[in-house]
Amino acid sequence: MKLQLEKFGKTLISRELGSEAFKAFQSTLRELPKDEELEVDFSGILTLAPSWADEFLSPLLNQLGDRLLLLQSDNLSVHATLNILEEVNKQSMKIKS
Amino acid sequence: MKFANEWIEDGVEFPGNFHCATSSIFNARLTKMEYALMQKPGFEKLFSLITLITGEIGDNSFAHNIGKWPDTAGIFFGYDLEKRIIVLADRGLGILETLRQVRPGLPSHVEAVEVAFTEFISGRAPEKRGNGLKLVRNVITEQPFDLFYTSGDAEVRMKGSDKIFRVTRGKRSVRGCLAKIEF
Repeated sequence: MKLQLEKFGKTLISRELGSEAFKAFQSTLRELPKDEELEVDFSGILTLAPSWADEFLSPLLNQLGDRLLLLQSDNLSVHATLNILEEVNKQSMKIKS
Repeated sequence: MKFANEWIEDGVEFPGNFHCATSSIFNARLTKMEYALMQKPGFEKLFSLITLITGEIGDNSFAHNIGKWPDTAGIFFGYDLEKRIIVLADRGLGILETLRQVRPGLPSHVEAVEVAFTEFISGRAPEKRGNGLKLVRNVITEQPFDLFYTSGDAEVRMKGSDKIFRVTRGKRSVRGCLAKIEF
């Protein structure tokens, strides 16, 4: 399953909004077969901040583990945010090459 | 900068268009700034990092003061993209009082600001928070941006080629927090 993150907005900032997005996504996530990966596509995102991502991607990583697959992005804020999340969670995220 | 300084030091009122009473208003104005920055030559990629650090500092003010604003709720958010300057300020609890809720032994504003910028600690524990200012420090260190940040009598100055992070004790003590980003 592919998740286009821009469906939640192009500027993803604030914990409050990240938490709301995570809750809203749960019904879609229930449709993900247990043997399928969730691919997160950052295209179209202008800014991704760690406050938003920590409320959305960190719990997704807890739920899915290796089944969470991030697509590559050339957006600088996406890079910086994913780096700090890996540091704070002490867990690497799988990037699709 | 003058409006923000006078507001957090003495509560002097400033033009309402700089005031974001809620995080929704702040997010809307931040998005407007982001679009303007994207159009600026030379910032086609860097705009996202400037928006990120501005967003994290502003979001921190709301997250840590919600329901606890000592007087005026909300933040000052002003920018001049021609002069390449962004200023954020709040009249909230400040870093020391916020972090003392989870680390009561913190002795000073200087130590509290040091912790806020270097450790993964949150004033809202057990909620998992506290990565925003660490990333602000990383981005300022690596990119051609300058930062002045103050809370209480603690000051952080990361400028020019001297990008070593250090917290010093300033001559004045301010209410809440104030940040000036230059790029």
